[in-house]
Amino acid sequence: MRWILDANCLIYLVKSNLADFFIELTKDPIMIDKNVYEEVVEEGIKRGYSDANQISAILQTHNIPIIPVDIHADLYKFRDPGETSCFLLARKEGVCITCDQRATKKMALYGVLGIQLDNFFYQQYLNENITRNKILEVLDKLEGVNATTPERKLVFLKSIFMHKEEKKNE
Amino acid sequence: MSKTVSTRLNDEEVELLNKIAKEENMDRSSLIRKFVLDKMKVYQMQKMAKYYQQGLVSLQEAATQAQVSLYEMMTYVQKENVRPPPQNEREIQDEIAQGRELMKKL
Repeated sequence: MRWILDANCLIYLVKSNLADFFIELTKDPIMIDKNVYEEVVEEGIKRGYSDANQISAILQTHNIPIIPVDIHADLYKFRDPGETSCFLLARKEGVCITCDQRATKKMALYGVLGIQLDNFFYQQYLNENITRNKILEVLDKLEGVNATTPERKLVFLKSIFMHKEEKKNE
Repeated sequence: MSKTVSTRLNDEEVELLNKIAKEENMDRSSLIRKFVLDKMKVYQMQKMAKYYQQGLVSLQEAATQAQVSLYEMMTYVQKENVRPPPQNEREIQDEIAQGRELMKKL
């Protein structure tokens, strides 16, 4: 299995300063497709966005492969080159990670595995890969950059509390 | 290829336009072009942000349809406090449960 990062996930990971931490947590390979790279890194650098330079550095440091994907036959499904190529990569043995509700729903509609970034971190907490304090910090950071919504954060906080209570009772 | 588009403005509007052009050190035609293009871009982002808020498009799709970069669209929705449609607790809990199943498969 491989993790496919979409464009908004990449940008939000950098904005929230969680990119390195995210990469540390993923045991399976991470990759992005060429359309996402062009949109996020090449276009971003051209337009002067500092996040784009940071993303480029992270991709290089962690040797994250950039895979070219032919999107023409499926572009109509997503109407965005980056989203289409994530879908195609995830369809071939992968899970797409996004911060976008609509993108997650579309992936599910086409039978492709997808998970939102906040949920990915929450699952890491449930699997005891990160501590309670860390997940709280992560959720704060994600909310701070709009990578999660207040109502999602509230449900995660409630679940964290309930999980702690269950553990206590065991 | 470019085309000439004309419009009518009253005396006060023309006067204001001339004043701004002088301040910006631009010729009037370039200034009008700049204003029209800037406003068209904002209009497109505004329209797509509304669709995003209604859950009809993703943020990436919104950016592509508005013909702006994803960075610009992100900045716009954050500045205007535009969020995707609210999800209820059940929906989010279902997502958590699906996430759990997914993690088991890995």
